Amino acid sequence: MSILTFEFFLLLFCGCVSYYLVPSKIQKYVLLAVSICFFFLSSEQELIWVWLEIILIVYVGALFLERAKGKVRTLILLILAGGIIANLIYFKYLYNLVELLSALLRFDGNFSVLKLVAPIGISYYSLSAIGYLMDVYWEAYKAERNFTKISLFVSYFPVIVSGPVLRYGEMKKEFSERHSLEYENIKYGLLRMVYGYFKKLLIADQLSMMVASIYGVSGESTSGAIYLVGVIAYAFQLYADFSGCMDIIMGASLLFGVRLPENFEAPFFSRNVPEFWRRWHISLGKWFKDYVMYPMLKTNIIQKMTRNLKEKLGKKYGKMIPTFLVLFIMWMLIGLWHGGTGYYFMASAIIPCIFLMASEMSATTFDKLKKKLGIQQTSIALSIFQSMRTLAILCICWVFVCTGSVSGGLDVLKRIVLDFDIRALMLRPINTYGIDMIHALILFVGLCVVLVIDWFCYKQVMPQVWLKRIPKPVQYISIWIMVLSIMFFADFGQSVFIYFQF
Amino acid sequence: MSREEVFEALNEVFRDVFDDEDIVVVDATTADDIEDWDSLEHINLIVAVEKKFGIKFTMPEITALKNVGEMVNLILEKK
Repeated sequence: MSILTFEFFLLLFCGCVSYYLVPSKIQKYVLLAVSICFFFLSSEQELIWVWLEIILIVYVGALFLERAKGKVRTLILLILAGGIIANLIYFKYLYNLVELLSALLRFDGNFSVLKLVAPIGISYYSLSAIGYLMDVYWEAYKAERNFTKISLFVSYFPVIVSGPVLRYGEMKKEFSERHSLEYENIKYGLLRMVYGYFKKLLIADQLSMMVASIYGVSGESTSGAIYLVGVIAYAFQLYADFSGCMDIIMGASLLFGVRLPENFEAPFFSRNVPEFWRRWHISLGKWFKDYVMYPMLKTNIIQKMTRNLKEKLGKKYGKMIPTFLVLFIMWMLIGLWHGGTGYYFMASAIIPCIFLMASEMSATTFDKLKKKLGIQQTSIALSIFQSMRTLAILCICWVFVCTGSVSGGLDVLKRIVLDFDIRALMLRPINTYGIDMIHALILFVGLCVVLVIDWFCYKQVMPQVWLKRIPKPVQYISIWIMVLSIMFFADFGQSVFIYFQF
Repeated sequence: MSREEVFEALNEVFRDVFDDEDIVVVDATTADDIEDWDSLEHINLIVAVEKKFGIKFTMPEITALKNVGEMVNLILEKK
């Protein structure tokens, strides 16, 4: 079942009605029932056993973990987390990793038997589960005794599509509280869903046709200028697709009164690469920071390395080298999470990591340069330049995803630098970009609306605040324009979400 | 140990970790107030604080810290 279908609405409607009719103690069972239905209708049904296994490992394992002491406690955590990771690798990454290794080591083989259909949401709930076990290990809270709450935490239907990665400490209250029917939740939830559908169906899907018209055509000699337009289109496609999905599922969750953590905070207004990664796919970045980077940085090995290197190389480089080593390992794991293919390792691991390190190393130099040139940090021209520079850097990553291969990505980057023919861009007819005039107009207006809303978010003025300031007639007209545009111009039933593949 | 003594010792740690002799921390000081205090430096700072006071923070305590005031409260609890 896709969240872009009428069946999903029907499930939401039936779920909501039941949810608000039952006593508060039964509400979590209704949510769990909706989640199980959603799973059955969205995934290979025999895979429900894999999902049940994870729930049992997490529930029983956490209880054992809580009672154990000393080295036994650490061993239990390693076994439980190792089991979940092994399960994830088996279903999601094994085929890609073996293909990548065979390409690097240049041996042929047919590994198609390793290509499996994974349970829906496995990449997201596996991380949520490992995070929960680590929190219990660190005594952040006691292991949950209620099996239903743990089942719901692992299987909550809005997040198994494309996340966000949940933390039990944040969700425990949401799943335990009584949620009474509130008009504001229903209104804002539905509004957010409409906005998400608009982003996905009228922005992301249209841009995907543009990108396909540029990157999906083989055997042609395309100018670097056109490839550049294509990758910028992909950047906005990816954002509209992923954040649109988040708007839909967060709106759906709000219908039940359950608030989920935000996954995006106006990333395209970021002024540098580190800031971008704090605003893009926030739940994933925070998970890797708290459960991978920080624990690794605190290990005795890294601390000893830091002390030794400080003595030999001085304070600055003594700290920098171990930190960059940990950063590299963390980003390679993020690349693995994105599928373990060569081009995703480039796009989601190696290149972001290189630019993050470069950003750290060059921060002081850029500050001195700005002071020398008398450029104020608050200057609008500087913020525009920095945002565009950040987008350009991310486009270097995403070129590899557009082309679907490392060699393809490198070839396109070479063309963008060496074969940048602006006339080819101007001479190319609009109708060769895969969309017609009306869709192009809706796309343009839609992107402007998204960027304006994001601008307010960047300035910490959230939609719930400024929406109330808009006169009600203007609100209603805007919502109806959005709904009618979706009804008349969207292509239903054809598209999937990009981050659903992870 | 008094709260003032903790702040005095913390000032030394912050000045050493961030190489800035002008740093003076107060209860409300956060990462936004100190230029190089980002997620990469956070653990270096925590390890230096642990060493200075002979205490250990747990991971949840480290990630939950919102400002220096909360850090001082934790230090006083553990001493």
